[in-house]
Amino acid sequence: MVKAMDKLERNIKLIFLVFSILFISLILYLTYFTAVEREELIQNSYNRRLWEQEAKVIRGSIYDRNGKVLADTQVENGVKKRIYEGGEAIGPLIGYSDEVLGRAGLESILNGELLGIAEQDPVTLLRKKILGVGERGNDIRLTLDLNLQKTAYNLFQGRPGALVALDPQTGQILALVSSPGYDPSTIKQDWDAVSKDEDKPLLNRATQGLYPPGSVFKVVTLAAALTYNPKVETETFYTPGYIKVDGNIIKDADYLKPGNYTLSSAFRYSSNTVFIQIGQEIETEKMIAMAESFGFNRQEKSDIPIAQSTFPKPSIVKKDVEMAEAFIGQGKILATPLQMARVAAIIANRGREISPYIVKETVSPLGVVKAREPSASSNQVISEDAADKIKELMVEVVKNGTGTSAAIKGIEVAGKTGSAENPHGKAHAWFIGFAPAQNPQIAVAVIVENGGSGGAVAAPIARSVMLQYLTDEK
Amino acid sequence: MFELLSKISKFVFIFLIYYFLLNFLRIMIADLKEEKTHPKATGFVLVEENGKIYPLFDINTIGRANDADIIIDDPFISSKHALIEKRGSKMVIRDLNSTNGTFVNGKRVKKTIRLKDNDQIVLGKRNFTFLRGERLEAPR
Amino acid sequence: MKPHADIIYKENMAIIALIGIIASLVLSFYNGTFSPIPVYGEMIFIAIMVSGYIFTNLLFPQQDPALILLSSFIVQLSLIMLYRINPYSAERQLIWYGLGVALFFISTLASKAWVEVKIGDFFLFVITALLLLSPLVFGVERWGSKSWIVYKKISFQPSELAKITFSLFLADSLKDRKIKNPLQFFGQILVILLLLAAARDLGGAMIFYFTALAVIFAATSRLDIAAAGMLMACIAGLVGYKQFNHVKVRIKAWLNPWEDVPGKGYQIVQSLFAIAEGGFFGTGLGLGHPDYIPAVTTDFIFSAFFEEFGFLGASALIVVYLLLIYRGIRIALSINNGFLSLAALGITTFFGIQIFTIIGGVIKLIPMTGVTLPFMSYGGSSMVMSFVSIGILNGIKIRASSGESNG
Repeated sequence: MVKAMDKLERNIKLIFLVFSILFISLILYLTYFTAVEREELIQNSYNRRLWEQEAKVIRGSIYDRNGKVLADTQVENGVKKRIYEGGEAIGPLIGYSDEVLGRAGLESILNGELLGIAEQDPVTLLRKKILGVGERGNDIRLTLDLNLQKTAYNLFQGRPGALVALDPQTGQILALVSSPGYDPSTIKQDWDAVSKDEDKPLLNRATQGLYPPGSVFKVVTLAAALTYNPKVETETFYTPGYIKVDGNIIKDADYLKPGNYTLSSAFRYSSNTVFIQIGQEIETEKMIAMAESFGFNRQEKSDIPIAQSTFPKPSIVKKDVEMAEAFIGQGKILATPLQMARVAAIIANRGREISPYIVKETVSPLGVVKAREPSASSNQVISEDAADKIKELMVEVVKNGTGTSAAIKGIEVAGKTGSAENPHGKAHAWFIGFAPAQNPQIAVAVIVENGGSGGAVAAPIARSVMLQYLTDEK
Repeated sequence: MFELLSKISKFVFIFLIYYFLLNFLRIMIADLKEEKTHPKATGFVLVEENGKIYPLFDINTIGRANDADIIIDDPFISSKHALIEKRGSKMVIRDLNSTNGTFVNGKRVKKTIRLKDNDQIVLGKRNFTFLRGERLEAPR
Repeated sequence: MKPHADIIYKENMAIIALIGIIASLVLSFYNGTFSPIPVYGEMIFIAIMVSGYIFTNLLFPQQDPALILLSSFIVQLSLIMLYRINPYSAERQLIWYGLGVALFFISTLASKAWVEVKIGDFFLFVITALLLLSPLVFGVERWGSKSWIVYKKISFQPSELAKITFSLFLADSLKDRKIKNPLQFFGQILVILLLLAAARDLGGAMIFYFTALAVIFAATSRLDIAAAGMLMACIAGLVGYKQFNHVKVRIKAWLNPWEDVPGKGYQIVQSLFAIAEGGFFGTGLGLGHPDYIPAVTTDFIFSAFFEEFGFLGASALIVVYLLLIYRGIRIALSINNGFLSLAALGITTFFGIQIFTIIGGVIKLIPMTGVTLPFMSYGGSSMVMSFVSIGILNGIKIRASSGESNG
């Protein structure tokens, strides 16, 4: 009897302890929720509160670098309409924002800015209220050149592919084209057709498309060779037109005759076999390191989501073959067109690192301008010397090599062609380059899916784009 | 207008709600203090022969002294005669070197022994029964 | 009552009133122009609260004042939210509050003077069973479970009363610290659970089950029974998941509501959005969007409250509930009578489990069940029976204080 009462007491206290723990865990979970999960949920496209905010606010406009309108909100009889300029050329980049379809592209990524909900500190709110400008979001100025974008897009003539044009000295994106695209003005009506189109116009190939780079990757292999194995400059390589690695035979293109090649001629005529030999003289780890400092295997944080380009770490068993393929941009190596444009830009920028970006600045309705340019990096990916050497060789490619279709009269163009073998059909046609070689203003990367020869198909597109930009500049 | 009112009142509410909680905290602290100065009845009692009931707390000194917990004015009881205290879930008794001794169920208490329901305790010439309080609820 | 504590209690009552007055003033401007209705409603609330407090204090000086204060505090918040969501519901809730306080008084009186009637545990079991049976026979189905009885325009949930009788049943069966007749006892509990299951009130079944487990453990200290009980609960959960589609739906919606946002996951997703919107300080009264949340006056009132009063407000509310549990436990500890102690424990445990279940469900800590938040959710049966419950606790407390422990 004596015991029983106290046991009961003890048990009751225990039960209270359990309740306390349960209730406290409720509070702890709410703490976690408020601190961590909250942000995501607020921006969730199913959250009607966000759309309410949208209904109250006039969405900010998007302009190109010259002030041309890309996206704008116009109010007619109290009804808001979002209009777009640029047609199919800008669809995959700018995207759309719609209650039913959701959000995509820059309209989605920059949604917070465009609605002005990014910063809501009380002082700014108060000012907005007083000045009566609370109902408008921020405008955004891009680094994009709309004319260039449209020209580049039209050159594709609807063929699947992508083009990225950068300013190599600043990293500003001048054009980001994905073909085929779609017109955001009519996306609602066209939704069925567009979403079911086999060529997937909704995909932004320039930033999300991952392709084997093929011979344009030889620029990176070249960079690695010059950095880690300088004697390669004076070496002579013999090739019988093919090379055997681990029992696998890799051949040169048909037009290449067997014989002796220097670094310069091998690059000019894009000899696979010689470049494999060159690559084999570089330590694997160093090659991987060089690829990574050019941007491969890097998870980028940028205005736009960029797929990660990969340079594979070779497996133990098939190491030699995999590396051999990688040296010439085939096999498991994958690159986005943006990544290859970056490679070209680094060379153009004398080996200095560049960070591509597309948002130049945001302008609040009160007129406050916030620059969004990332600070210039002083990181040297390769030495200035090496970069200059590579540039020389790239100039030769356009002058006398596989890239003559990219030549512009009166301007020195540097470039590299590529025809990337892939399992889906004809080779992808690639071209990367920059101009003018001595003081580069523009660097481009072009890919035409299953286009065949880089020199014949991709180089002319690059040429036209560079020409327009450089003549417009003047 | 409403929006402004609401945004300001927000903070007022939070303040009031937490002040409310604070008050309860103060009450809890006061309760705890109370338990210290007024020890809880253990639920056990000592019933004297003549019917007088002494509720037992955690610590109970029994004797003639004025500062004993249970004061028994009897010449055969020492000033500090015995001690009944709570040990865990049981009550125990021990003799405090009394002159005439403490007896439980006829046996003299030498060291601390446990008390059971209905034990007969003799201090000097006085007889007590040790009981559980619950038994003494209002009889029906 | 100690004078010092009395002052603090009165101060708290004033705080509740103040919160209500400020809120009613703010809400009176909700539609642009001033409307005196919320203020009138608040006056009525304060009148009920104050008279209830004074009256009970006068007649029962040994009562626990925290009980009526804590519950009134929660009701005050409830009225604020309900008025803001749907003024008509606030009106009704206020009426039930009045009824509740009156019944609080009556049940305090009843349980204080309670003759230890030899009703016997079997009779209590029968009453409980009949209460749970009645809606099955002449009740109506609402929101998936058949646990309502409707007469004219008044609807009543017998299961709310059953909670009380069930607690008494458990307490009476276990008052000697052991299970007299295990087969019969467990059988009786099983019947109760089956009746609840038959009514598709699985949330209710769960609460009854765990309360029984807690009280059994408290009385007998048998860890083995407790452990076995927990295990059986898990098994039942798994079986329920496999066998019953709507259990499966609930659990799936809990694990990944994003799979089917417009459909099965809708409720919990909207709840989460509201809670996310609340942030630390909340949006402010009237600035949230309870209209986006389904069942917002009943199941999800906590989410709506969180949206407007923020993490700080909601956490404080959870603490207030914990305080209520604390007072109940304290009462269970203070009385030396096994039956009364276990009864108090049972009633308190019912509250505790229910509160944890509903809050845990709306924040997605555990799957959603269709139980309501006592004193906060819109609902007459819940409110009134909750007041009856704490009235009983009050009565027990008075008996404890008047020295029953010492005879």
